[in-house]
Amino acid sequence: MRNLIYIAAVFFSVLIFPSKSETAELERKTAWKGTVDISEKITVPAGGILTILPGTKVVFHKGGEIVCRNGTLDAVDAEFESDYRSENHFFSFESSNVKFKNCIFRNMYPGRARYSYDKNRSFFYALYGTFSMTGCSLEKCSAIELVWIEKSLIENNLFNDVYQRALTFRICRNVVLLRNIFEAGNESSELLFLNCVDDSSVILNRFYGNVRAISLKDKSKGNAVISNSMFNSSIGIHVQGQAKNNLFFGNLIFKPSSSGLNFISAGKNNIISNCVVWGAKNNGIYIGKTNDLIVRNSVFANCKYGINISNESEASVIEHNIIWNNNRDEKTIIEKLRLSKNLIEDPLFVDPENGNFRLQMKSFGYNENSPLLNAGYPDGSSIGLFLSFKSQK
Amino acid sequence: MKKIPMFLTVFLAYSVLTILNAAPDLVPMPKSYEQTGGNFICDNKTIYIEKGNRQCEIAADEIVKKIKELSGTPGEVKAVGKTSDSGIYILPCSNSSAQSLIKEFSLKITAEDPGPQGYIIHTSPERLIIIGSDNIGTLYGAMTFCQMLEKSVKNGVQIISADVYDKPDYRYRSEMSFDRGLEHWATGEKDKTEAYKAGIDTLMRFKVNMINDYHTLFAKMDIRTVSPETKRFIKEINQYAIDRGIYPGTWLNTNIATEGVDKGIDFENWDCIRYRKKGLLYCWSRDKIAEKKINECMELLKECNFRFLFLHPIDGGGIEDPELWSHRCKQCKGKWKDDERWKASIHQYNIWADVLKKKCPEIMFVSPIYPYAATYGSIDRFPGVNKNTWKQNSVDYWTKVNKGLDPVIIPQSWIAQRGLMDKYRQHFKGRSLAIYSHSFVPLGYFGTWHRFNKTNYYGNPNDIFTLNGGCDRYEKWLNVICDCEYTWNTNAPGSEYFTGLYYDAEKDHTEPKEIIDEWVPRACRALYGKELGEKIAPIYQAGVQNLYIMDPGHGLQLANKQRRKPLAEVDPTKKDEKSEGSVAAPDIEDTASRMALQVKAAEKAMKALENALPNINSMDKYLRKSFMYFYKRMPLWYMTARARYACYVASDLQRDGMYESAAGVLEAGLKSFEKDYAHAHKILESVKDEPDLNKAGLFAKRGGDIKPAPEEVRKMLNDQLESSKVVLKPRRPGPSVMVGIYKGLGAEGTKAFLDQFKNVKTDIIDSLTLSVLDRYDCIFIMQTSSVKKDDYFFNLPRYVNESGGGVIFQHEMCGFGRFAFGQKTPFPEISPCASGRKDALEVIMEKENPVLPDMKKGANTTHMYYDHIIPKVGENGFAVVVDKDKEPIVVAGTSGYGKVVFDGNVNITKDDKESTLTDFNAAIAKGAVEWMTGVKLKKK
Repeated sequence: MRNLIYIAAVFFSVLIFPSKSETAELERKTAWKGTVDISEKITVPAGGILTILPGTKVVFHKGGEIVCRNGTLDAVDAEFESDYRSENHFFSFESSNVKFKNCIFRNMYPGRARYSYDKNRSFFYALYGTFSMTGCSLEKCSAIELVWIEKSLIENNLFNDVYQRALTFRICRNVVLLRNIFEAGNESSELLFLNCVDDSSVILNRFYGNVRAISLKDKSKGNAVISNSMFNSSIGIHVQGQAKNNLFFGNLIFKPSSSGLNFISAGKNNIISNCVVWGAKNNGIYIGKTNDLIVRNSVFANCKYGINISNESEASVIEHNIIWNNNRDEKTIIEKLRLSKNLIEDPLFVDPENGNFRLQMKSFGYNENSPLLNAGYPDGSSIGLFLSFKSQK
Repeated sequence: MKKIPMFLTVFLAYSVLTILNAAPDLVPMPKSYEQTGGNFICDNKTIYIEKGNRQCEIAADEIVKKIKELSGTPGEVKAVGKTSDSGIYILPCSNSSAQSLIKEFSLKITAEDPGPQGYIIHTSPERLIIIGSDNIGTLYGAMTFCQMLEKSVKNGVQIISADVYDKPDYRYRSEMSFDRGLEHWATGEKDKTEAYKAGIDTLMRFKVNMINDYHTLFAKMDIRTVSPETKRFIKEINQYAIDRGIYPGTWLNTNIATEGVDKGIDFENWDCIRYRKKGLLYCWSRDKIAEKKINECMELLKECNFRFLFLHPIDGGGIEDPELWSHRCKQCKGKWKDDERWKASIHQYNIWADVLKKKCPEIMFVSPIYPYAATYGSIDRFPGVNKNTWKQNSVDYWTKVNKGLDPVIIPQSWIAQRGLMDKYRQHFKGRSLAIYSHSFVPLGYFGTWHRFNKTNYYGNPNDIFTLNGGCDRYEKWLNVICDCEYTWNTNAPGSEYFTGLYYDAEKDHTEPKEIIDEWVPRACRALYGKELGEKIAPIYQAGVQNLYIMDPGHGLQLANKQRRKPLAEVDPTKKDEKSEGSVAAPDIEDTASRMALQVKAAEKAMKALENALPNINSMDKYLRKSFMYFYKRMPLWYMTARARYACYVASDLQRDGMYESAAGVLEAGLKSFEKDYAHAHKILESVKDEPDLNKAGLFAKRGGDIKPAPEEVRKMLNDQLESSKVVLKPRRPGPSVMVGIYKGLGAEGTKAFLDQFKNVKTDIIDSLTLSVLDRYDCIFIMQTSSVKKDDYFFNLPRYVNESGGGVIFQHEMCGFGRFAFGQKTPFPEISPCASGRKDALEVIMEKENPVLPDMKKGANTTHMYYDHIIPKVGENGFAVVVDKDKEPIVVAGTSGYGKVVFDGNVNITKDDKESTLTDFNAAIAKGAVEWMTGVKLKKK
């Protein structure tokens, strides 16, 4: 009797809750317009092209995701949002070409992570292929995660109220990150994460919020991190784990709540040049178990410690820098630094508390020339953010 | 007479050739070549062949063709009768007339010596004798003879009299791809068949005798998917090849069913090994299903005239679970225990062998028996693996399999170091061996790794050596021919033993000199003709690494993979971290000097191509395609190498902090790029009607081989230049954009508007001294008369030009007549002055521009006040918006490091009141600040 009831229950459940197709494969060439509601897995077929036309709004409901392998996604002036917290990525791409231009993404983030290793889940995941995102706005979204991508361009985007992380790159090359703005949110852990990334450029980006701005990890090499500005981060730039031959040039780290630059067990031949760390609550730069680091033409001022080097770090070249007004800089360290061509004096910035790190110059109506003028390496260049600052004759 | 060791004969032959004048270009070099004095005149000489012997007929045709090419007069072709007549005799040694000649001249040739594919050539005053140990040997003798033919002013077509003895070391050697090699000559041809045949003829002339790689013509590597039309085509071409001594071979898998081909099989619920993506099902014990597939395949192999079957077992599992044996089904497990994979292999292979012997015994059966690398015979390769597991799955397995395997089956292994292959051969005693040369992607289109071909040669001519890696995607000829040289003569000059690093990207495109300086010119002369070949040789000698030039990161990643894990490409389990070989060489670093070498190499090759161009009409149309492949691309490779070099030098300078110099290098690089691109474009235009080896063309989005395209190279230079210049900029906004509003009409309204943004701080200022200006990222100059001339015409330009600030001039401050200083502005190159005033409200976006990126072309709006000033557009300015008469209302431009906007509006209402900005006034205030500072303003 019990078995009959069981069988009946199964039978009726099939009638009442008919099994729903869990995936839908699009036509080879599909264009979306208007409002598109997604509540199942939508697959772009191999060789297929999904074009999301200007003005389209794509809403992800429970169960909704877009997957694509060996296909193309092209979205311009479109909006994407979600009304549920997905366990999976909203977008999963493999060996595909993806392009987002002038799009808006809202609330694309996962539910609360169950495990600590799971805490940086991305809403967008791409493995292989190419990726381009320009002029987009992301509001309360988790990471865009790119893995094994040979070439990607991320330019002029706004990442606002970042959920966990804004961008994750793993084993990528030729990433160009240019002129983006990152604003941390309450749930942010860090903003930009590069793991085993080579030959990439991170230029002219602006980071806001009390989280780690840029992490460069493991065997990342040959990257150029140039002219970025980090305001009130916890750590401005964190480098760890065999990352080597990277250039950090002209970065401004303004009042970080911990350290401006953190090198921990990093690889060799990284160069820090013409950076400014102002007002770090802890270290201007911390060098831990890292050898052969070059630090020059930079300013570490108004921090707790200007330059903090662990005993296990060797053979770093620290010269032509300014270390000034740091609370806990010991005399011995100061003297040691002065001897190796560093300056211990007021850099005479124009308006540092308002983030203006231009140099005072007599020719611009100031009383004195900044000591940073023409004091850098190579001869004739200046210390600080503006390498080619020269005094008017 | 004391017998000369084989390795010396080749050396001596080379020596003789280099010493004697006017030595012919023989490729591959015969084992023995000895000039006997004088010349043999070939014009009008009757050619005697064995009647009905296909190879003799082909040989005669080739000789006739060659004599005609040399503007000579070939004699008649006749069936041989008596042998005393003057002429050219082309005969197999089994022929009775050949036997007469052998006796008459005491020639040393039998069916066994030199043996299959071997031949002799003997020159007497009136008779030229070519005798082969077999028919193919006879044909090859004729091919060598063709290479000996030369044009003489005095004698017409002749050869330098010589005696030749020759035979191959490997009887089955080198390899040309059917579908991705021969196919390229057919691109754009109406008669595809003729193109393939031309390729086969070329292979024959250089004694290359293997073709493979058809499987793009069969879906899922299953020959049963071949279409009837393709089948007919393959059959015809393969037969053509066989007649010319070439062995067509193809790969099949040991899978017993293929999705889409085999019906009535539950693919979804298959319980044995399944490759889901490829739709292939495997099993060792379902014999009925297996036999059906095998029979069908064998019938097709026979029908299509194949002569080699390469049968691939399940490719996975590595040393610990070879062929994924542990995943076999219950039925297989019931028949064979875990340590009895060898029995299953024997069972499986012998089914194939039985069918093959019944249906197509002429086909040779080769299989890479898993694990198919001799290197697996050393436990040192597997430090993390249990010794018993290793032994069971490698050495014991091989020995046991060998005992039960049908004698027709030839095992195949990747090339391996000598010692390892010695051991491997012991496990397969009594069998020939197939060597699968290294599979890798080279950085350049020609290289010398073929010199390693002797490594696994043991003197068994029945061994097989197939070329599998190292060819350019499209142009393979010289690599294929070189591979044949070093398999025909494993001891050819320059030959070496492979000891660990098969491909060295630092050396293999320019060394050793025996190949680059001596063999390459000889081969080019043999392939392209004497005069043209001499001119073309530098293209191959230059060492151009086209893949590296076009994608240095990817290229070096491939090259370094070889150096870090030398056997990466030949390890059956590529991802097996436990099977680590030691590092063979340090990584190649990508440097400016490395790219500089490529610039020089491409330049050298380009010059050679130009030098050869006048002679191209002497080439046949297929070789002409190969030439054109280089002719079209070399200027693009050169252009890209030069651009990359500029970027590399700039990066080095940047690392040293020399950004200004870096910018200079990049600017010069851009100029050179434009020149190089123009030249490349001119070349491409001049040969645009010439067919290309790549049917998609150079620049096609799908399938084009020139990537990055020139526009992308230009962008690369521009991007790097911009990033160099970026760091030279003397201003960077802080956490908030600092805006100074010089007091005047509309200052309060402007401040009220900008204070709505959370990342903006505004001050109304009353001084334009430099130290005041310097505190702000941009300045609004509102309409006022309270301004000092020096401040205006001296400080403002310095502020903009030197410190990168931005200035917005409003209304009459645009140099309107009533303005304090008349019709002039501090930035005349952007806007010299205003041309008038207009009572109008409408504002139109005529052309999209960066100051108002959100306003689309054609959009219109209105401004607050009832009039506006009309600023003129200077030579460095552009109109941001216009009125309905198309006269500018706002003009902008860059000056020095900064930016300037001349805004003809005034930020007050129609009734002259201060008010928070609205309409266009708000848009231009926001847009101008964002444009000048590069920071997007965020509303509170």
